[in-house]
Amino acid sequence: MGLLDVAGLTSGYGGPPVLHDIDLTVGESEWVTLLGANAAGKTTLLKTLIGVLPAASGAVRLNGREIQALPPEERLRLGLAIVPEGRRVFTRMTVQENLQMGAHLFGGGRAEDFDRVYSLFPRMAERRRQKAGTLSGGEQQMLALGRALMSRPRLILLDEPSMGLAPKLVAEVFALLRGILTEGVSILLVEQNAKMALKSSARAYVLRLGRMVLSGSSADLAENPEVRQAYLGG
Amino acid sequence: MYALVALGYTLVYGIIELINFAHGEIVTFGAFVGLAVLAALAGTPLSAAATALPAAFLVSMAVTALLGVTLERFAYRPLRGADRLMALISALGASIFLMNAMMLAIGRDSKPFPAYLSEPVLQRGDLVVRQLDLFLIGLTILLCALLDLFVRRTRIGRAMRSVAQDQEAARMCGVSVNATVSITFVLGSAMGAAAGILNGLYYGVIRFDMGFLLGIKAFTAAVLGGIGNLRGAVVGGFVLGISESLIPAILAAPPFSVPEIFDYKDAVAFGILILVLMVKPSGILGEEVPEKA
Repeated sequence: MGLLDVAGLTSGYGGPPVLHDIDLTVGESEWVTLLGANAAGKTTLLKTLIGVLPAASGAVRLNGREIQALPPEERLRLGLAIVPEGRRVFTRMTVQENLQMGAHLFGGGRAEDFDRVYSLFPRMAERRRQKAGTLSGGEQQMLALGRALMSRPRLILLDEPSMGLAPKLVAEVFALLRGILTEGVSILLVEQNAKMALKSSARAYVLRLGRMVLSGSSADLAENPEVRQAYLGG
Repeated sequence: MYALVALGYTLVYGIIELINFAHGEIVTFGAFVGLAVLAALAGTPLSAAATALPAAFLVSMAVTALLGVTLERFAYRPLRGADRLMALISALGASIFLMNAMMLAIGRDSKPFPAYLSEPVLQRGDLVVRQLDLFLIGLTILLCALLDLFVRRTRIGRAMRSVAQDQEAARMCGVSVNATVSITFVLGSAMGAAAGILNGLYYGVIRFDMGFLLGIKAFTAAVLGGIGNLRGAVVGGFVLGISESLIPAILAAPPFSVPEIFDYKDAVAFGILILVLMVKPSGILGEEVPEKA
């Protein structure tokens, strides 16, 4: 049994389901990558896992406990956190306030968590009184990651954290994620940048048109001709 | 006074993008609860201004907050996520319902509001400043400042701002949207109740439909300041109140000399609304909404 167990999950936006019968597992301190083309249902899956979209059927277990009917705040308390697609930082709030929002359920943030995030992201520390909207795209991505870390999650869901970032910044994001992993936090990463994602993760899944079509160790999938053609540029 | 009522509109609009047309009736309701408290205390040892007024404000703000939350729960929450027009129609319906309910309960005629703090503190020729005038301005500024502090400095205020900016991202941080919206209605309604009592104290009478015009003018103030912006609502409220008294006074005196203008006082307020909407729809302090990154 993993930290996160998804079994037979079906979900969507109220109309016909977008996701069909999804099975997925993320272990303790494990990095799992989820690949898929645009509109394959990756973002839908993460939103269903964090609970802003309701599951139509199937089960989501975190640490053995069924969470598919819980509101997002309960899931955050149980150790889930998300870095949403497009960062979604609160642009009219300061950097510090964004981090406080990440720890909203925990009294607005413990001093040691601020210290930890600010030491991971020294640039955030310099800009803590600045509005998040004034940050560059890369800095906003770091802030979104820092915000998610403020709740001391056991599993972070990341939705395309490299989107729109310069290659150097992408490498920086991946290095940070590797560091977080060694602290015992599990990672479920949705990524278009398949090459780096497969290199960093232990296992991977491939989502196509709302169904899981492939799964296996990242090394195996990186050699898979189908994956190579679709996501690694041949 | 407009500032306090305008805050109620702007708070709710900022969070759920709904013009709460029933807010004027909330204000009327607050005034009547305040009147009931003052009437109950009359003749008792607690009838002095120092005890009766705080009691009236506190009770009325609490009871009216409850009405606001109930209103949201039954008239607006079921429509959240539906077309915005639906919620707007529901708000109009709630407004008419509340106004008529109060007419049935209280009657159609004006009720006298007991006079408090009417001693002059300053008198120079025609100019008389009563204690009440200072109290009114002082309390308005105090409540606005407290609200501003609450929204800017507390954890709940932060949650309110996060919901206003990006509801889904706020939920991803564990903010309960329902609870946040309820708190918004509590704050807006309590402010409205205070404004209702101030209105009664100032004019000496209250009536079941007084909230209608007051509400629309306060809405004007909110738009003038930039709807959704708290400080804008306060600025808009003061600007509207001052221009409403000043512009007719200027036009009535030479060189214009049109004393009939006082009958058109309300037209001044709505003239301002139309002007703002034509010239700068985002209001004095309204932010030009930036494109989403």
